[in-house]
Amino acid sequence: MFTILLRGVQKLHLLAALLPLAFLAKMLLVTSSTGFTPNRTAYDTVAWEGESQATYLVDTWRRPRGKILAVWGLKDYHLDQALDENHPIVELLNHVNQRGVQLRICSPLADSLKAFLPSSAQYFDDPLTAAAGVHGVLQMNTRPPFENIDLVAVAKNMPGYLFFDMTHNLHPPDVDAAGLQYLGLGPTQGPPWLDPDLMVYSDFLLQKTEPDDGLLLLPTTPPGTISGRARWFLHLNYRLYPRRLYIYEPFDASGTSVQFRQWVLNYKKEQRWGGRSRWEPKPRELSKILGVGAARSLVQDEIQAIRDLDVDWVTFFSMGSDFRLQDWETVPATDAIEHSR
Amino acid sequence: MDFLPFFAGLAVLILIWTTGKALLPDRTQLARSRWEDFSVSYLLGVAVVSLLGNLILAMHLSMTVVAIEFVAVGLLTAAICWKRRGTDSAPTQLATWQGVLLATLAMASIAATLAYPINEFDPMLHFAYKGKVLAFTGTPFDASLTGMLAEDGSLATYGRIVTHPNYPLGIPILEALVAKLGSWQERWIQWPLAFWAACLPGAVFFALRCLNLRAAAIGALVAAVTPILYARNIGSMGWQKLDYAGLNPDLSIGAGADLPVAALVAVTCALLLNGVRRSSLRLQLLGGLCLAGAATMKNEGQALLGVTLLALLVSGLLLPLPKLRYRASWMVVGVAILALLPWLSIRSQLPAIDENYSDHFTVENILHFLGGGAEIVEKSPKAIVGRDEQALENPPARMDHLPGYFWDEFTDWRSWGLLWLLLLFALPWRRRDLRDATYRWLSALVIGGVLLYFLILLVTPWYLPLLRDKGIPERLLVHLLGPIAMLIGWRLADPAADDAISE
Repeated sequence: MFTILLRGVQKLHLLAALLPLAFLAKMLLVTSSTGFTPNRTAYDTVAWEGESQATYLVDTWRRPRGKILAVWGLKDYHLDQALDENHPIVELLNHVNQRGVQLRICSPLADSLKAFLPSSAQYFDDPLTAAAGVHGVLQMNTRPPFENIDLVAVAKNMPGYLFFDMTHNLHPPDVDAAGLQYLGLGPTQGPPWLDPDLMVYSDFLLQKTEPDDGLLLLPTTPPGTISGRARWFLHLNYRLYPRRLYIYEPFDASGTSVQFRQWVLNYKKEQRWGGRSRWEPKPRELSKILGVGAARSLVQDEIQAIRDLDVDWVTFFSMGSDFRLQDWETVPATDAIEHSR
Repeated sequence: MDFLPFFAGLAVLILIWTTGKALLPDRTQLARSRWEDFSVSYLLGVAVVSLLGNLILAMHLSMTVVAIEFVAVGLLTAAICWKRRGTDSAPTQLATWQGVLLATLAMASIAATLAYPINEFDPMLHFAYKGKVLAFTGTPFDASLTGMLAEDGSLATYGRIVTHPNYPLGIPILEALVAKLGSWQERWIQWPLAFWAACLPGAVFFALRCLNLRAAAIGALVAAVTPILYARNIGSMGWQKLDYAGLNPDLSIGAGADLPVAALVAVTCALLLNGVRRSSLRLQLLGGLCLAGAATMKNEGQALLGVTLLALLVSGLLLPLPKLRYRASWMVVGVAILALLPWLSIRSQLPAIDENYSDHFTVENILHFLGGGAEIVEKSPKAIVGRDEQALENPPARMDHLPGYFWDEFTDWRSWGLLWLLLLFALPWRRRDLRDATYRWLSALVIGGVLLYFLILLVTPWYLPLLRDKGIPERLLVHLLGPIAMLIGWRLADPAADDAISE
């Protein structure tokens, strides 16, 4: 009796085969759909709340009141939700407007949303016209009429350079190439090593440097996040191998997440570059964003490390949980030392 | 497309197989089917290649020497295998549907592993990085791994970036061999890493063949259909999430280190079980090599080595007890420990980041946490940044969580099917089970392994809820899949099972 029961359980266990069979079949379909090459667009997305998105967007400006924001498209995001006052996009735009930001909306759906949007919002049919003279663009839709817009022409007519992307259908390096500061406002997609800017930048460094070169990675500003995703240097180190990548206190920087947190706090506390000046390599190596002070003068122990470790290049970076080309600049070590005198 | 790494990977695969196959007695002396033959030969070959690689690297010779030795040994063993060709393979008596199911799962797991280049954090930064170090610089003693320390051994103020430099070199050696024979290409360096899930059921079948073919078939099928052999928590987030199959860190297959430990523990048990029951010293010693090989894949392998040998001791197999039908040789213990020494020597020269379990695995710490003591070392960064303030202010005692984590796994059918329920029935409740020293040994290994992981997690320097998010303890428990499936197959095919509980 007992053995019959046991064999019944075993037969039920065999049914579990359906799970790996379904999983493996689906996995092969998923991988084939991306050409057997991992692509971040294949990854799941994580929804943000409208209010937190609005806070992030508005806080990008030191003084948001009076800034003008062009909004391209309204409903590429949360497609499944009805357009009413509770829609996350409506919430987002209302929060942004409450902080004093003027909205210039361009969307075929604008008429059906006017009742829920701020009364001060202006409406446009042409995205380029909507973006003329604004401080930032918020792109929510990449379908017509918002596809293939000449971003260089947009940048020429903007006093500001902020470009908020909620679609993640854009290739951030293209936005940077137009001279606009890319800020991903939508959900993060995919693992950090598939970040398109990281791939472009590491490919660029593979071309620019020799395999036996040494690179010292130095933050230009105090690290601002303890997010594990901000450890881009780990991925650069892997992708650029056998190049020698050095960093301050590597034991903690590349250690466990708690060690990394301590590294960030120590770096900020020490204020190692207090009084250091920022400078701008001209022309910038890859990013087209100017005026951000992509490099800084070095402190004495950094100069000593360059000499002791036979470093050829200094890679300056600003730490963020998104890899942006504008935050990274690699200059010859001799130039970095020269600018520190 | 560059075909060189593809063929290099394939060549490494074949030479590993011939290395293992030549070490086994031929099929006239040790009956097995081609499927079992490939599975056991391949896993044995992996262990030997990894151990020899570690030995050469520990002697401060370069990875090029490892590659030359590997090819030379591989070709020599290929010649031996060629001479032995033509021996009959033993039947499995598997039903057609069973064969089709096993073959489908095996082929799909291989294809799925190779479908993407390495695309996970741990396989990339913990193992493939070291593979690159071995392939490009030829030695683990390069600053690429040691450069976070200054010359005097203190922490460097400015130094090289590397995560977990003292993780074992088994997988990096396999990857570097492909790179040495071809070039570094992140899809095809996975060739030798794509066969763990395919080979583990074959090893289980071979283990139980010495009992009867029915036990072997049940054991192999039980192992092969257990979902966690391929991925964890399948469908737990809703079936729509299968659209992201292979894109999240729930994969077991791939270039990580847990499945190789599981596969090598399984083949260890298979060789030891056959070696002990057939009184074959050769098979027992090969089992000892596989056990050491498991310890060169992941640090937990060392702990499992200890548990396996301890289980041999407590089951009585190593003791000169009267009336003992089967006996294991102490040489197994010697071979396993000796074979591991080169890796331990390398490890002692590499900096450690968090793998200092020996510091934490003390009676004092165990009693502290068993008694409901508070966290000692680490708090989750997630808690620290305020996402979980309650957890930060009042960190839960580990004993409030840990038994629940294990219970959740034992009852998680999406990862394990009904494996743990079957194991519960298969444990040696009957006096007659306890009379068989080999059954006692397998049972002690499984129970000891689960207890070991419980205690390790009790004292881990990591914050427990954070580990839970990363698939602990299931990623550790999968190491025991082979011996668990063997116990179940053994128990279910036992002809005298009908009087089970009544005894």
